[in-house]
Amino acid sequence: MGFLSGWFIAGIAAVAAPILFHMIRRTPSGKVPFSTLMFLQPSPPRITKRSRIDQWPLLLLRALALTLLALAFARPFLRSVETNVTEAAQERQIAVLLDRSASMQRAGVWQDAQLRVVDAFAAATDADQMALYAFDNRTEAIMTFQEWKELEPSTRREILVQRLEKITPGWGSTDLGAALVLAADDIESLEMEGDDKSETKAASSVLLISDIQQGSAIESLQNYEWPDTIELAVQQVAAAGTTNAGLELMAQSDVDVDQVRVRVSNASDSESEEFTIKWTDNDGESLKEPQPVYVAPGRSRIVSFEPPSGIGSSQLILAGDAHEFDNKLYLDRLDATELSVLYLGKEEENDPESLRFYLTRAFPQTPSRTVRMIPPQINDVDTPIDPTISMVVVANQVEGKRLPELRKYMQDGGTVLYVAQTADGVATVAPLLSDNQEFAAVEADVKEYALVEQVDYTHPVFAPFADAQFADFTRIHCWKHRTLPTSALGDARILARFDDGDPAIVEKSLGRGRLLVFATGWQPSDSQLALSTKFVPLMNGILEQAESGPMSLPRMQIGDELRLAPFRSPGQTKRFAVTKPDGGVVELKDDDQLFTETSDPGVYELDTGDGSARFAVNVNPDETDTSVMPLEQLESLGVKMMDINQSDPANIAAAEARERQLKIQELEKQQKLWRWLVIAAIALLFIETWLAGRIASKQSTGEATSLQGGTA
Amino acid sequence: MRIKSLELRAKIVVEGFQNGLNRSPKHGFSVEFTEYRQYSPGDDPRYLDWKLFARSDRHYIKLFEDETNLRCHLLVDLSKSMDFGSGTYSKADYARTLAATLSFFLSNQRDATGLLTFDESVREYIPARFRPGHLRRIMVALERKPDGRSTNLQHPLGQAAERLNKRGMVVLISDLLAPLDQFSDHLTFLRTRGHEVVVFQVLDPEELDFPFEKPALFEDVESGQEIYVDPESVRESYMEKLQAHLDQIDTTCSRLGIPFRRVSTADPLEHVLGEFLRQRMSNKARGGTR
Repeated sequence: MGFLSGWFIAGIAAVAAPILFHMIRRTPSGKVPFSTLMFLQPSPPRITKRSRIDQWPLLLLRALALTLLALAFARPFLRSVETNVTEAAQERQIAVLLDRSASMQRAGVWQDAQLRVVDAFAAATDADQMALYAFDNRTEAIMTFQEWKELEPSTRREILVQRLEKITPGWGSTDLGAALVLAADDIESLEMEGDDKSETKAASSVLLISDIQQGSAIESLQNYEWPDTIELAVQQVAAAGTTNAGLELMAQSDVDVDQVRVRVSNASDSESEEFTIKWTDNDGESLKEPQPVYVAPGRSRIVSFEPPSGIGSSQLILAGDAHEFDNKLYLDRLDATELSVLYLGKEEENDPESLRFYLTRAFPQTPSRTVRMIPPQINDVDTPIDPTISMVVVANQVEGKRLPELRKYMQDGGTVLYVAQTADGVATVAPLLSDNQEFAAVEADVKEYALVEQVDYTHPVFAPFADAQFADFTRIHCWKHRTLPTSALGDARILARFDDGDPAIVEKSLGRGRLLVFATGWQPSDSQLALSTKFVPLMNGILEQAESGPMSLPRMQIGDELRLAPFRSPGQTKRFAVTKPDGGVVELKDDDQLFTETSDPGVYELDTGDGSARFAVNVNPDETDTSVMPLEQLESLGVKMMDINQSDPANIAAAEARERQLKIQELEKQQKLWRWLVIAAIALLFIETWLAGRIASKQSTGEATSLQGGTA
Repeated sequence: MRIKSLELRAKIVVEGFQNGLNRSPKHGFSVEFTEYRQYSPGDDPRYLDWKLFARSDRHYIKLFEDETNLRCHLLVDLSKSMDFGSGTYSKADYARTLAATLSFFLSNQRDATGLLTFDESVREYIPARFRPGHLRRIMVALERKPDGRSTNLQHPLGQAAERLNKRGMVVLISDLLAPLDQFSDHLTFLRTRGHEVVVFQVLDPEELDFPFEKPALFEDVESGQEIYVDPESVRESYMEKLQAHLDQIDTTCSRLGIPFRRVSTADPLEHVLGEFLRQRMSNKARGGTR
């Protein structure tokens, strides 16, 4: 038995009324004439213990009638039926998404978020299916639906709290979209399982507990069709102060190559616009005077700094905002490396028909390196090849005397790029390519043009083109090429072939170095390679590989993966190790292609065996924008938002209570038990009236008799 | 009290108590001439001495010594408070019957009886006489409905003291439920004028016992004032105050040597009167004042 309007039961308190009236009836029922009031004094009506109830049956009837009326107004219903209706519908599937991105490090935010998670799970019933995910740039399941289901209901909360305590906000960016997609997918798959078992549709929702910063990435939702059955509830945790600014390293300007350019971004809800930036070394020692920067809220500004000379890695530290998590910018190598490429050929430098013309322009000067082309005339035949030269490019043919030098150069680890322009020229490098004495190349018979295909994208040189959008080499028409005898190449690795099956690019390891052979030239008379977008990356890839790794490591952010392929030489089985900023060393296996543990900001050092490379990992600048993202942005991407008022657990409960109330109302309407109660109350009142009349008449008869007797 | 006629009622009562009484040893009534007084308009012309008129040509009224051996004035309180009664008759009914019985009894003894009814002031005054028809007047006066608002003992007692020149008996019948200021003074004045004063206090049993149980709105029958009273809570104080009032009356009467009878309307009237007369006779035998 339940009640639709339970508070009407308070009306039962009206039962006190008949009792009071019953007792107060003993007070002035009429006037008593008395000779004098001189000895009397007024006394207030009072109900004492001695006040007896004379008419128990009447009182009980009146009380019962009132009780029935109160119960009728409370609109009772039989719960047994209701339970079946509502309890089945009560099962909910809730995926809780907890933001653990760098911005959650702000003071007070994380504790608040943890409490909200605990609250959300505390509000769950045993029937609910819950899961907890923590996300930054990647999403991690802290407790899956399956685990929740398998755990004893009594231990769930304890285990959840234990796991929750182990999580801390990291340094990652906020990939909100990916996290939402994952949570929604998990719920959907759970619903699909559930559909087979039960007919009722469970209420599903994703509860997002986050600072919902503007810098969150939600692009992944664009390609995702948000399920209609899942609602997103958002609980925003807010930090104490809103002022936040951050630093981002920018590409160096072409004009001031010596300057370090840094973008200072100020969040749109910041209350301050004045900050200072100081340059420190890794130990925190200030290297220069702090520089003031003014950035209006919601704006960013690029500031140039002249780096202190003679330092390796250093830090730029911003001060003046409320939150420190994004205030440090780690910088790695700042001084440019000078590389040199020796060109062995006879072409004029400015001849647009020559290889050299294009090669010279393929190595633009960057802040991190300068490439010096050593002109052919300097390369006296008698001068030995300097082993510090990064790469040797040989055009068409090698003079006989050069061969031993080149071989030695390669065996010491050097890289030689040979471009075959004529079949005869190939013959000059044949001893390097093959042990076969009969190695002979011929000019290929090309009809119109040949295309490059079967590119080995696993090779470090071609790895940058592995992505489908860059992998198209068919736009490069090769008018002429040389046919290298495949059978005579031995253990040489064919990196690409022409569409007629002839090798286009061949790599041959020699000692610690290698020889790369292009079967066609890149100058317009041979092919369109030099004019294609592939040429510069290809040449630089070769040069970087020659330098045992990338000369400029990509700007890394937390969560970015470092591709190891550019550091590996084909066939090498050297173990790599990465020293993290906290001093921890990560050993990498031979087959590891990626270094993924970029979880902390700082300068990492990659030990490749031959040498080392340093790279800085910084907090994603998007995290700096801590202003609150309007939830409409999520809605515009198709996310079905729960009523904002319901996002709070209390409001969720209220919404559920409303729904339950509606069902109860329906049930009560069907049963209409109140009618019977009212009828019973009326019947009781009739009986009471009859009984009261009977008692009254008896009393009056008795009184009359006694009065008469008294007078007589 | 079921007998409507006051006269008949008085007669029955008197017969009732006379049966147990010895007759009065003193019949003593004489019609003795005392003096002449010049007639003045308003005097009863029946008393003109025609013989003297004939002799002297002057109108003289022959005044006689009273024929009765007792001149008794009944002072009856007929205020509204006397109209209260818990039974089928009120205190006023009881008081009237008491007064009528006394006057009937006295008439039988050929004593002169007068009546003074009062409430807050004197309502009616009938001088003490013994003559045919006088008893009838008294009965008629007694049967008038009381309509006074309040009881004021001072004024009627004062007036009675002034009017009653000749010594006699003054019987005050009242509930005496009024402030007793100067009550003692007036009684003293009456006593000093040589009157024998007898006080009957008529009270209803409900006034004496206050037997009410249920809380009720008590209405003062005189003033109409209403107060809410829970008898259980006020009974004690009522009884205390009532007792103090009665004690004061007792004290006053005792001090002045005034015979005082407190009568409950539940007491049979004949017993009350019988006892009163017996007591009075025994007092006389002991040489008490008249």
